[in-house]
This record gives sequence, C-alpha cells and structure tokens, in this order.
Amino acid sequence: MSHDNTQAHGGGEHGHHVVPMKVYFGVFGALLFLTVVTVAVAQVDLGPMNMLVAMLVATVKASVVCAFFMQLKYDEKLNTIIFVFGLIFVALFFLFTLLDVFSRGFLDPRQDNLYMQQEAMQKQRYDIEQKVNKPLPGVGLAADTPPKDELVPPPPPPSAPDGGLLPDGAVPPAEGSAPPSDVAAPPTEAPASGAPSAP
Amino acid sequence: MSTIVKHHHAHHFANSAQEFSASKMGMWLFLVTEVLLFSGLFLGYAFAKSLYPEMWYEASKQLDWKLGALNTLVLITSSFTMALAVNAAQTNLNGEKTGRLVKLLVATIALAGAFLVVKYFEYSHKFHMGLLPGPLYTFGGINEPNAHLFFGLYFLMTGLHGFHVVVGMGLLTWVTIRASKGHFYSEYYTPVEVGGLYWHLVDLIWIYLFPLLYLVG
Repeated sequence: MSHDNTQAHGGGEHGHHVVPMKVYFGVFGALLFLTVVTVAVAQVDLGPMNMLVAMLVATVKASVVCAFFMQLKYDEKLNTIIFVFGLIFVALFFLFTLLDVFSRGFLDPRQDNLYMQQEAMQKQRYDIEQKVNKPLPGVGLAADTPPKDELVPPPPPPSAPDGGLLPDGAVPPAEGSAPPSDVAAPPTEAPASGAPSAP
Repeated sequence: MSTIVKHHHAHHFANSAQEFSASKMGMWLFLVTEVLLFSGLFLGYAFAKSLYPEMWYEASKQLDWKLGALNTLVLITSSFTMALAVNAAQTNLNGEKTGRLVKLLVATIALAGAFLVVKYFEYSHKFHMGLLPGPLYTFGGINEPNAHLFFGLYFLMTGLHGFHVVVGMGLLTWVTIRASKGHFYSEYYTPVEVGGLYWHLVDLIWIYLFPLLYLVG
C-alpha cells in the first residue's frame, strides 16, 4: 500500500488533501440540479426508459458523492478498490439471482404455466372480492398459494413392498435384492462392462 | 473554544497518519457490508417488481413524490454540511475553526432530524390509509392484487434507511460533543472524517431509494 499519492510525511506535518471550497459548492449545485432532472424526467412517460434514466442519474449522483464528499478522488486508491469490489459482489448477487428469476420456464414449460395460472387466479379472486366487497376466506398472504389440485401432481411416493408408505428419505429396496443393511456393502459381481476383472 | 486538545496516536500505530488511514480503511470495509445489507432489499425490489409490474406502478403512485423530493434535498444538504464540517476540521489549526465545525455538525444533525420529521408524516399517512405490508394492508384504491408486497418493501427499505439515519444522528452527536471540547484539529479529526463517511453512505442509499420507490415504480 503506498501513501505517496495523498500523504506528505515531512516534518510531522501530514498534509491531508483539503478540497477547495468551490468544489464543495459545485458538487452541491450539481446534486441539486440532478435531483431536479430526475424528478422532471419521471413526469414524462418514456416506458422502460424511465427506469434506465432514473438509475443513470442516481448513479451519477452517487459517483459524485463518493468522489468528492467522501473524497475517494483524493484518497488512497485502496479505499476505492475496496468499495468497487463490494459493488462487484452486489452485481454478482443480482446477476445470478435475476438470471434464475427471468429464465424460469425456459427449460420447464410447466413452471411458466404454473405462474400464469397463479396470477390469473389471483386476479380472478381479487375481482370477485371487489364485487362482493369482502375478502374471500384465506385471503392475504395465503392467497399466493394456489389450490393443490391446480398444481402439477407430484410423482407418486415410493411404496414399500407391503404397500405401506416408507418414512421420508427411505430408499425402497429393489426387487429381489439383499435386505437394506447390506446396501452399503461393495458389489460382489464385476460390473457388466465386458472386460473381465482380475479376482 | 479556541484551545485544542492534542491527540496522541494509539501505541500500536507507527504514527498518526497510519492511524488515520487504517481507521478510514476500516470504515470503508464496514460501508461495503452496509451496501451488501441493502442490496438484498434492492434485489427483492427487482424481483417483486418484475413479477407484478402493473401493481408496482399503481402502488408507487400512492407515495407522495413531493415529500420524497423534499427529503432528497434535505439529505443532500446534510451531506453538504457534513463535507464542509470535515473541511473545517482539516483547516482547524489552533482551534479557531472549532466553532464553525460544531455549527456545521449541528446543522447536519438538524437536517437529519428534519428528514425523520418528513418521514414521520409520510408513515402516519400510510398507517391511516392502510397502505401497510402483508395482512395489515387494507387500502381499497389499487385495482391490482398483491399491492401489500410493494408496501412491505417500502417499509423495509425506508425503515432500515431511517434506522441508519437515527444511528448517524447518535454518532454525529458524539462527534459534536467531542468537537466542542476542542478534540479535533488539522492534525487529528478521524472521528469527523469517519462519521462523515457513514453519513454520506446514508445519503447514497437514499439517492437510489428515492427514484426507485417514488418516481419510477
């Protein structure tokens, strides 16, 4: 870590960078101006561009605050690196989570249908509520879960040989195999790969 | 107020410059964890908005953007007075600027208080209208389902931010008391600098919260 870009060590005087007063006033003016800009742009309907412009303006404001009020511009570079690394991890966090959210249904179309069904049902339920002017039973957070019969039926649970249900996590024994206590034992036969293995 | 109390750097630092840069780096590391803390809520925002865009738009119109803009101006001004306070401490050679430093810190705290007063009026309006999270939501004016989600995130994000404002006020009060005793001068003002960094982060978070909640919805 090098100090030479900000710190002067001569004679006990350590010269922290004193930002000129006019820079502070300039930054303050810029922040006020950008606030007016972001409010003004929001009054115009630009569709999805509204979000883009708002985030762009906010990021310019945030960068100005970081550079001048928080003095990253005059500071040791290490602090900027630390902060930018934090932001990179935020970007990773967003990237992989939103990749999941926005790609649901790409691989499994049933998932997509499920979400559309849920949404349609919620809308329907909501419209009925508005008509009768009182909440239907089970409304609120529970309304987010659709009735069981609308869901894709889960695969049938594995059943034990006697017809009863196995406890959760139990593996049903294959037909004609050894009892479960021997499952972990190494196989006695050579794998059916064709090449004979030495005994 | 014209006298200063000399600071002696802690014994485990080679000199006061090293002490200063170590404290500052520690604060930046902490600020990163703060950003990560808030990023979870911002991601929740992105997720919920993508699921129900129409509801999001309708619900965000229930917020008063004028009060949000007012609070943005208040916080930006408080960041400005905080930056000037750091400047006053940096140029306080023999205690002649201690009075100015204290005034600027008090102004910052007062502006933080003004922010919370505006927030109080906003919150009480939401409580009155039933614009509340989850099952507490009773408002009838949004013709879209699941509007309680928006207000859940609204209260979580602004609530966590408001908590940071309160913490910042406490921190700056401590800095102000020490400043009035003449503890900070051009050779030593680490608590002013580090407290200022915390305060600017509170401003940074709000710079994103304001357009996301009040403007674009």
